[in-house]
Amino acid sequence: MGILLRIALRNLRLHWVRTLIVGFLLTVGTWLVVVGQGAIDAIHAGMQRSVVDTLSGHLQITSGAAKDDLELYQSAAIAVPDLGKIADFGKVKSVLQSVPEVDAVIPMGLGRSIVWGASSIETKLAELRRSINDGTSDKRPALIAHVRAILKSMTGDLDKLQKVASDTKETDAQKADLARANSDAFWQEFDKAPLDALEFLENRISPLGVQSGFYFFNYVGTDPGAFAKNFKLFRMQSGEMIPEGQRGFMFNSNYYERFVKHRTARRLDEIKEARELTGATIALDENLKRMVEHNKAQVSQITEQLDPVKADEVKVLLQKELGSTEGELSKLLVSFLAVDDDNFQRRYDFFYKEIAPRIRLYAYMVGDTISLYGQTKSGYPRAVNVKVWGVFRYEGLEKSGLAGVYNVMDLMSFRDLTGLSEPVSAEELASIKAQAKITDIPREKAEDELFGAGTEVVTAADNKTFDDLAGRDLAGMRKLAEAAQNAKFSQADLEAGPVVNIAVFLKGAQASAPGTSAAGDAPLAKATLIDAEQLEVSRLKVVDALKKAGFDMKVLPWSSAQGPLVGGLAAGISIFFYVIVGLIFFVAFIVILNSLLMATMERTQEIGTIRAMGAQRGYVIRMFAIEGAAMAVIFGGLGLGLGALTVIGLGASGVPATSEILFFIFGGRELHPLLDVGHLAVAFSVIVVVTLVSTLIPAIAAARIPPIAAMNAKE
Amino acid sequence: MGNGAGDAVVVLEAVTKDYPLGKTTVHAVRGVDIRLERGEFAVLAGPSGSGKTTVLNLIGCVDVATSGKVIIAGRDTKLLKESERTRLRLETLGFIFQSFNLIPVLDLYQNVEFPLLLRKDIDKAERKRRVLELVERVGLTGQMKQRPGELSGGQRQRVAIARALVTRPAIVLADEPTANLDSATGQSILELMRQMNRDGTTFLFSTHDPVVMAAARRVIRIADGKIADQGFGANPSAGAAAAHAH
Repeated sequence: MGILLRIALRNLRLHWVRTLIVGFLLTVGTWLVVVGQGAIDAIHAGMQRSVVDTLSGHLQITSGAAKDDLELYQSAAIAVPDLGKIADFGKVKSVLQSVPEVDAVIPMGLGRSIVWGASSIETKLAELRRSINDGTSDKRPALIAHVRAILKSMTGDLDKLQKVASDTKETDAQKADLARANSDAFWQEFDKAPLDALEFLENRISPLGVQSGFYFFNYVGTDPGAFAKNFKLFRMQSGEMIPEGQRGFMFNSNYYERFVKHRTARRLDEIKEARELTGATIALDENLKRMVEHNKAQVSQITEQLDPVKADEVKVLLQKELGSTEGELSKLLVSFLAVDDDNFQRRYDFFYKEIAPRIRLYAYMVGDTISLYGQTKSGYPRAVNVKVWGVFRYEGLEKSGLAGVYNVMDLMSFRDLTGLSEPVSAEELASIKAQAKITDIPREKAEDELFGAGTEVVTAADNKTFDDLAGRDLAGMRKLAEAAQNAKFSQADLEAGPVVNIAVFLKGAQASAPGTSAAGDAPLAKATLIDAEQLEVSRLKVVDALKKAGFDMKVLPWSSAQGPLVGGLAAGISIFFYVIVGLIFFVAFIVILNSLLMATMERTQEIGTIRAMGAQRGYVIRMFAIEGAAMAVIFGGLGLGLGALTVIGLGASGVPATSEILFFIFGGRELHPLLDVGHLAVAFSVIVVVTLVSTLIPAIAAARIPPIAAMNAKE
Repeated sequence: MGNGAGDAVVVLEAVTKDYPLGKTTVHAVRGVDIRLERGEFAVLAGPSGSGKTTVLNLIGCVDVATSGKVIIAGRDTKLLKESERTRLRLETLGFIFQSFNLIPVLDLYQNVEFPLLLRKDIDKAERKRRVLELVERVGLTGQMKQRPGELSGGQRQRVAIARALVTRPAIVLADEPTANLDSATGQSILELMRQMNRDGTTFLFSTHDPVVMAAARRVIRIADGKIADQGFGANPSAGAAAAHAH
C-alpha cells in the first residue's frame, strides 16, 4: 500500500500538468456541490418560508368536493378556482385541533375584485366629506378651491364630448348640473347645508368625472387576528390591524406600492431600487430611461392633484430647486422629472420632501373606504364597502411581487362579497332572470317567440333621468350602507360560518416566536423548518382525523398548495444546479479517463515490468485506483475546504437578492447558505465515485497489459 | 523437484511457439528441447529473429508455448492459471531487461525493494537487510536515494541486477543485458553477474554479443527457431561465436 501510494503520488507529480487540469475540475466540481447544496437547501428553506409564512401555512385544506385544485399563486394570476366551500369552519377547526401535531387553524377564502379607480372629483369630494364629518374646517377652503378647479376643467371636457355625442339631451342635463355646481351661488350655500350639497355633487357630478382606470384586488378573506399571529412574517407597516370583530381591508405593502401608489412616485421608487439593487444607471438602462420619459410625459398626474394654493407652493419650490424662472408649473415639473444619474438622489429626496406630501400618494389611503365588486358562484353581482385599516408587509419580502399578491380582508366581508354564507337561492336566480328579462319558453313556442308577430321582443329601455334620484332618501341609504360596513361581529359568528380553505400550522416547525423582528433576515437553521417527511406524517394524521369525523376534505402540503408554477421554481433551480454539476463531473470524468488511458499507454513497459516481476492484475488495478483515490482526496479535500469556507462566508455575509423574484426564492433580502456535514459527505462521495469510476476503465486496460510488454525494448 | 527433472530448473521438451501474422503463421520456435541445471551460466545465442527471445519469454513464463512442455522449477507452466504463473515468476524468476525497466518514480532503494513488496512473507527488516546487502554488492550504496533518471546506464543495470536477485530466484533471465551499454560497462556488468553465479544463482541470457558468449560457460545456439547447438562443455565454441557474430 505504501509503495503504491508513493508510486501514485510520484506519478501525479511527474504528470503535473495533467494533474493540475484534473485537479482543477475536481476541486471546482466539489466546491460547486458543497456551495450549490448549501444554496439549494437555503433556497428550499427560503421558499418554504416565503410560501408557508405568508400564505399557505404547512397544510391547506379544501372541500373534498372542490372542482379545481388549490393553486395559491395561480389563483391570483389567472382565475379564482372553484374550490367549493367548507360549510362549518368551527366544526372542522375543532377536529383539526384535536390532532396533537396541529398548532393553529386559520380560516381563509381567496378572491379577487374589480375596483374602479376613483376620479379626481370623487377623491376630492370624499376628502371634503371627511373634513365635514371630522369637523376639521381648516383644510376646507383649499379643498373647495381644488374641487372648483376640477369642475371647471370638467365643463371643458363636457363641451368637447357634446360635439361628438348623439344624445345632446343627456349632455344638456349634465351641463346644467355642472353649471350649477360651478356657480358661486352653489358654494355660497354650501356651508349652510354641506351634506346636502355633497349629496348633489357625489350623485350628479361625480359620475361625470373620468375614472382613473380600474384595479384588480386579490385578497384573502380571513380572521385577521389569527392571520397576523400565525403567519410569521406578517408585520404592520402603517395604520392598524383590523380590530377584532370588525370588518375591513388591509393592503399588502408590495401590492400597495406597485399598484396603488401614485405612478410618478412609483416610477421614482423603481428607478431608485434598480440603481441600488443591480447598480443599473439611467444613462445605460433602457428601462430606466423609459420610466424617466413616462414621468416627464405624465406631469398632469401631479398637477391635477394640486389645488391652486399647493400648485403655487410647488412652483416656487421648483423654481428655487432648479434655479429657473419658468412660470408654468407643468414645464417646471417636466424639467424636474428629467432626472439623470447625477441628480437622481437629490431630486428623489426633494420629491418625497416637497411634492409627495402635497399630492395623494396612494389611490387609497388608510381610512378610505373601498367598494369591492364581486359575484357569487351563480354570477349574481355583489358589492361590499370595506374600510382600509392599514398596510401590512411581509418581513424581508417587501419587494417580492409573489409575496405581495394578496391583500387581507375580514372573513365576514368576504362571505358577503362571494355569497359564501347563503346557498345559491332560487330567489337569487329569479332576480337574475328578472333583470335579464329571461322567461321560460316552451320549446314548441320558441319560433313564435323569436319571429312571431305581435310579440314585443325589445322593450324600450327605461328612459330614466337623474331626476329619479329625487325623492329618495340618499342620506338614509348611505347610513344603511355605512351600518353594514361597520357592523360588528363576534368571534363565534366568524368561526361558525363557511370558508373556502383552511391553513394549518403544525407544531415543532417554527422555532422563533411569531412577530420577532429577527425572523426576516436571520439565517434559517434547518431545524426551524418542517421537513417533508415530518410534514407528510402529520398530514396523514390530519387526513385521518377528518375522515373519522366524517369530513370529506382535501389536505394538501404547502408544496402542492402553492401550485406548480411556484413549486417549479425551486425544482427548476435544483435541476439547473444538478445539470451544471453533472456537466462538470462529466468533463472531469472524460478528462480523467482520457489522461489515465494515455498514461496507461505511456506506462505499458513499466506495467509490463511490474507484472513480469510477479505483480498480479489486481495489484495493477489497485495501483490506478490509489492514484484516482489520491486525486479524489487531495482535490476533493481542497474543494470541500474551499466550499465549506465559501458557504460559511456567504452564510455570514448573505447573498443579496437583486431581483424581485429572488426575494421570494431567498425568503428574504438575503440568502444565507447553510453548511451541512451531509453536504460535505455527499460532495466527497460524488467525487470519490467519479474518480474511481473514471479510473476503473484505464485500470482494467492497464491490468490487461501482458508481462511480455516488459520485454519490448523502447529506450 | 518432480517431473523427473532432477536438479534441472528449466526443462523444455519439444516446445513450439507460433504467432499469427496477418493470414500466415510465424513458427518462431519449432521443437526446442533445453535442460538447464541449477548453477548454470548459460547463453541463448542467435541472430535477430532466430527465436531466442521467444524461448526466453517462454522460460520467463511471460508467454505460453503452443505445444510441448515448459517446466520451471518442476512445474509445468501450461497447467498453471495466469495468476499462478504470475506467482511462479514472483517466487522463482528474476528478470534483467535490455532497457533496465526500472520504475522511474521510485529511487534506487525502492526499485530494488519493489519485488519484495509483492511478497507477503518477507518482513520489513528482512527486506531492508536484503536490499542493503545487494545494493552494496552492486556497488551503489552511495546512490541509494537517487532515481533511475539520475543514474548512468551501467548503474541502472546494476540496480536491475540487484532487483532481479533480491527475491533469491531459482533462475535469473537476462534479455540482452549489455546491449544498451558500452563495452567497458558491459564487461563490468557481466563480471558482476558472474560473481552472483559463483554464489549459486542460475543465469540464462539471450544475446548476440560475442563478449557475453565468451563469458558464458554454455552457449545454446538457436537458428530458425531450432536448437543448432546445445553447447555442452566449457565455452566450446566461444571463439567461433565471436567470429560468427561479427
